[in-house]
Amino acid sequence: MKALCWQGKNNVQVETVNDPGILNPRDAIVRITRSAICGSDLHLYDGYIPTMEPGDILGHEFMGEVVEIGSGVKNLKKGDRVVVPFTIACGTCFFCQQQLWSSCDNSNPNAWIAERMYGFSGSGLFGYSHMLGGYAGGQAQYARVPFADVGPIKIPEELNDEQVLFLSDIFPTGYMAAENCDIKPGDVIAVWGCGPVGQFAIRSAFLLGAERVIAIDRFPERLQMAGAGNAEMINYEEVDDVIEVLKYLTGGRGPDACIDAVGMEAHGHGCSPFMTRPNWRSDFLLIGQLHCARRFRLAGRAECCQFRECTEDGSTRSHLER
Amino acid sequence: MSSSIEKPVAQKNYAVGEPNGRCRMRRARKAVSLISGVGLAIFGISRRSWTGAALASAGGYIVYRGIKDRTNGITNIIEVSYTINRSAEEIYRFLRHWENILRLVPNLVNVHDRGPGLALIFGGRFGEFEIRTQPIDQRENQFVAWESMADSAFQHRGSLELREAPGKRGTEATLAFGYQLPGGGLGRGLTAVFGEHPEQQVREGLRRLKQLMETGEIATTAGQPTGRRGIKGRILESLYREKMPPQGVERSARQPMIVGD
Repeated sequence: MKALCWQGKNNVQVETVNDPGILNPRDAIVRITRSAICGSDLHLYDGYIPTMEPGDILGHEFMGEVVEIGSGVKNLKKGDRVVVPFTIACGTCFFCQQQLWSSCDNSNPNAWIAERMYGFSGSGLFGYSHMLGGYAGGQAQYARVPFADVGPIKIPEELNDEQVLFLSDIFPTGYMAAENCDIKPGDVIAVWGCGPVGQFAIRSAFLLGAERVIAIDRFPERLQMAGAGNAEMINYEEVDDVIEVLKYLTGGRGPDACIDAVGMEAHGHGCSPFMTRPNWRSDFLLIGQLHCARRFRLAGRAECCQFRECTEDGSTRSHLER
Repeated sequence: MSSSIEKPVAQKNYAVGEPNGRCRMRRARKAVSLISGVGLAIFGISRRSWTGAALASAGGYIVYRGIKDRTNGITNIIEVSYTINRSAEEIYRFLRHWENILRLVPNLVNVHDRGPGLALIFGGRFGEFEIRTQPIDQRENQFVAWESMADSAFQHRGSLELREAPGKRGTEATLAFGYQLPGGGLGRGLTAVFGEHPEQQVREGLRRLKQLMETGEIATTAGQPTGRRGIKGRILESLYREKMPPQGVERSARQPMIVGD
């Protein structure tokens, strides 16, 4: 099959590699029909993620048709259309039972590396470094999906690929940011960054009952797309002080919640510079976001978020995607 | 009503073997024996007489004792603890079948029951070698300890303790493993690069136990497709366990799990 392989910093190549096969009873093989490029693929492309090796197959947002199943998979059959979530979860460990799928204890074969580097390991991820499993990814014609009886979401006939592909990673990322805002009727939500995550955060905020959403970015086309999703727009390069504009737009109250959806590579333009800085470390954590391990990261950040909530005035709460 | 709380009894730490203070004493003793032995040998040789020769060989013997003492001691200790979402009875029953540990320890290729103790055959880049080990203590469903036999190629001591986790979260499995790695810094570096370092294997082994008990399989990427690897990537394939084990090994590693009695 053909697959997109990482060959070093700023160097990815389509190569012909072996077809994947079933390795464990709970595996399935998926023929990929749609695959997306994630903002976190940029971290790999730019060489920020350790334990990447030349030859690693990229891609963690994909969907397709089940073509082969292992003996332990009972809830899928050949021909099923599935969206594959990028976190690989066993479904039986303590974390999976709490629905903290990205903290799964059993899906990362190289957990010892992550434990060494970070203290704890998250779940295995598709195409996202050896430290996080070393699994071959989904920017390929076929992919092996471990624990296929837990992750994949079956898609009904009437929905087409484009309508569901983003369930694999990026839509839940934006949705979770909005969910964390604990939106109540009448709330005004400010979203920094109008890339794909920001766009989904804007729409999710409305879905969850926000009264108004204010989008902040500097690229006109992104702001227009946010506008198409009913958000109000601030081009921060055209205004003197975003905070003043936000106060002006909200009768002096400030937004009820803020979402930082600025990518890691674009650091320095998120909401963090505008907020009080409790300490440099929480600032760093805010900017250095890696949304691909959402809940896992939130666990690490919970403390800093709470601290932030305490130190800021009651009207502005900072919540992050997990 | 009695208000006393039953505290878990701290097990004797078999991996450490002796308290730290005594370990330091032993190291000091070794240093003294090395220095005095070398001094005595030089003094003896410089005398160029039969008495001198006797003194020199006495010095040599002291050096030999000092070095031998060092190679027999446990110098590295790892302690790893995972909570396994199964009862201690199930875990203990699984481990009682020693064939099962073939699936847990990455570089273990075979296990033989040889009279007193087990012979564990390890494979890897540096050829096959045998480790002889024997149980030294066990308590049904709670505790098992083992150590290498005197003629083993690799000196180690280990214990696994199973304790009920609070809130019905299963069993806390704590593995303590002490060992002496031959070859010094070079040995450490080479085994680390090729995925044969005891610490990595101990961590992986306990996690694989957890994976098998909880999910029925061991998470793996061995045998999945990859693109063109560089030299480093090819070397690290054994560290990342991406290579399929050789045919004979694969069969034993994939033999059915025995869980019953």
